[in-house]
Amino acid sequence: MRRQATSTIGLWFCAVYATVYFGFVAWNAIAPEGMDWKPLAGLNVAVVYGIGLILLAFILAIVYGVACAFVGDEPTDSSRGPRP
Amino acid sequence: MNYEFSLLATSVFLVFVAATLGLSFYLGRRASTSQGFFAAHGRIPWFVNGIAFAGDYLSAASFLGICGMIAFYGYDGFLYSIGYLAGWIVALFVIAAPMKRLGKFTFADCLDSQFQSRGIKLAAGLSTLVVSVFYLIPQMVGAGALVRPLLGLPHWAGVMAVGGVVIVIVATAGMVSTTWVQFIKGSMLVVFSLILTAAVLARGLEARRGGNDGYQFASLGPVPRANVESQESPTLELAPTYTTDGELWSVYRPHQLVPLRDSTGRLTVFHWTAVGNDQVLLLEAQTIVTQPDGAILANGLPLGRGADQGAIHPAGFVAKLPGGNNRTGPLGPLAFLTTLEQSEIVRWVSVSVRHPDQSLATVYIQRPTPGAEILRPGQSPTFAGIRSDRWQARVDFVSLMLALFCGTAALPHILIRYYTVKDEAAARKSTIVGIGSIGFFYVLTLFMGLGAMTSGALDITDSNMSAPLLAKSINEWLFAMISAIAFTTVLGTVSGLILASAGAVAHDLVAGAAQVPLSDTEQVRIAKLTAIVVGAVAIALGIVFSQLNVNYLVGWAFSIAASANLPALIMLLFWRGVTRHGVIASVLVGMVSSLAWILLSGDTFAKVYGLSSEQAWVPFSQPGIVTIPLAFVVLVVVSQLTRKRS
Repeated sequence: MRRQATSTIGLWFCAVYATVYFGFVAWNAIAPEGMDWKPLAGLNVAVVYGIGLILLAFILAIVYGVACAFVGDEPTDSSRGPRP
Repeated sequence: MNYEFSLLATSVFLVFVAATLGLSFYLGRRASTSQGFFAAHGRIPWFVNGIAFAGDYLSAASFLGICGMIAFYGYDGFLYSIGYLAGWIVALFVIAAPMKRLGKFTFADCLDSQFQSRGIKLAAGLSTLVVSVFYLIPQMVGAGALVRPLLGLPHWAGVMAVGGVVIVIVATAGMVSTTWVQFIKGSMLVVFSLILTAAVLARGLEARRGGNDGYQFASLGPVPRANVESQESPTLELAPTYTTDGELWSVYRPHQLVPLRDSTGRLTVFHWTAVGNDQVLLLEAQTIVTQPDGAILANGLPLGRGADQGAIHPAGFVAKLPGGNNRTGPLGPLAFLTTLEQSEIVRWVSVSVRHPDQSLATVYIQRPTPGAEILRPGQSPTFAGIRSDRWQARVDFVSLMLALFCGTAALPHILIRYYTVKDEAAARKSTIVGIGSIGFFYVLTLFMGLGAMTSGALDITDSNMSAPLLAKSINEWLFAMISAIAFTTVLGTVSGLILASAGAVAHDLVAGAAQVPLSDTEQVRIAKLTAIVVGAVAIALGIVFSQLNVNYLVGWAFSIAASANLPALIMLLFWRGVTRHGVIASVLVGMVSSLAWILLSGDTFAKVYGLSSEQAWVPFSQPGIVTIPLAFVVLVVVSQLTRKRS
């Protein structure tokens, strides 16, 4: 149960990050000229989005770590039966 | 390309190597069992394991390749930083805990945990070997590139030195010594990258016309455009003297080059660019000419540092600062980026000219570039396609970024590090530490790369040396430390790769697939023998492929890992309909299809076979966007077909 909860949190976080990451990739592939836009402190969106992706990864990792510590871990077992 | 021997750098380098070997011999007694040799008894503290992740992952491609790419082309190198880090999200959120729970020593253990199949062990073992060998080649090439300027040794000697040291590390103490070498290397890499970045910011930016050797690059004009358009020269050798601006010059038309001789007869090549409608400006270029007899001329003189000899001048400088200032003084990180964005930086691009006498001239041309262009994607040959009309180039870019995202969590040498900690929580926590240290380092690559681009110390013939030369422009001690750390960077990653290969052969192929009955001691002995053999193969490949680009080769490894390993791993964890036949088919199809796609791609045709990329059999070079989904589809279809029968 606890393992499923941490797994679900992980999958949601992964989906969130993948959406933001592939949004960046798609923007570069479809409209790279849009990367010149300066949304913050005179920096263009390529720099802000790029560094933001690295920071977002760390923030999500920390939140995930805290969430897993809160939920707790199950002892290692072999609950899943053999497969064909 | 013509470096001076540094006693200090060599001494620090030798101390690092001696300390690394000493540590391995000291820890050797802890690796007599397979549990100790492959998994360090699962007793590595999670924080140490997390930093060791950084030591394992931050390879020559990350440190030397990315810094070099940013130093030469600007933001495009940072796209690799973003992609390499993003892959850790999959590792943490999807793979970390199950890997620890289901496996024992190798990636194949996890895949085979529910099936006990020799076929899965065979497929996963082969996949591990293929990915590891592809990843090993650029590390060895990087080692050779480093040792050449540092110790004055030829490329092959550098490759053999790394191979020899790594074989000793792995064969003496396996995962125990590998972990501690990676921990020390990861810590030092991040700390000294921070020091280097702080030094770059403290120095600020300075406008000038040349590099740190004091040489000022000449410019002629503006002169009437007719001066360079009236006559055409068939070679770079037939050059008039440049004594008056009114003279008509011959131009080597394909690359807008104008060869001129000064009053002493020395040949200098200029490159002209239009200034307004009818004026041109000539900027001095640099040349390396390899003559038919093998002699090398640098800037028109025999290569060397003596009198009557020539060398390529160090470069990489800011031509204009905002507001017409000459120097900024110390800058904060934000001010550094915004000031650079408003400056004009001189980049260098190279063109090759083959003469009728078969001599080959490589001409390095100044390209003054607005900072705003430096900080936007699409300036390098690798990613320029995203600003073209070719849909294939855009798909190629997406495919590479997909492979980087999916590849990290499928690299065998990264996956085996989940077995060195005691439980799932420790695996998760060590991944978080890894993401923190690796992400921090990747942010620093942007400042180190741009710092190298404006350092006045750039070697325009070798992007891989950008970070060490940036350190040298600050002081000799920092150069010595950064060079030694760069070498240890190669050691740490190669150790992990050879260990993963050794596990694949001894544990997966011999004991698992071939079912040769082996005692614990025999399995370790075979693994040590494999480490020696794989190390020797890596040495040979590192010498053979010495001319290939490091980052390019790593891209191959990521694509193969993402296609062969990740689909089976993901589906095993999240779909109960997986069968052993499905896993085997997915791994083999992913591996073979990605490998075949790479070998039939335009990049390989041009860079490896020496053919035109137009002759390639596939429409774009990066396979991931096709072969990763293909491996998923194959797994589902084969699992469905074999379900009832099983």
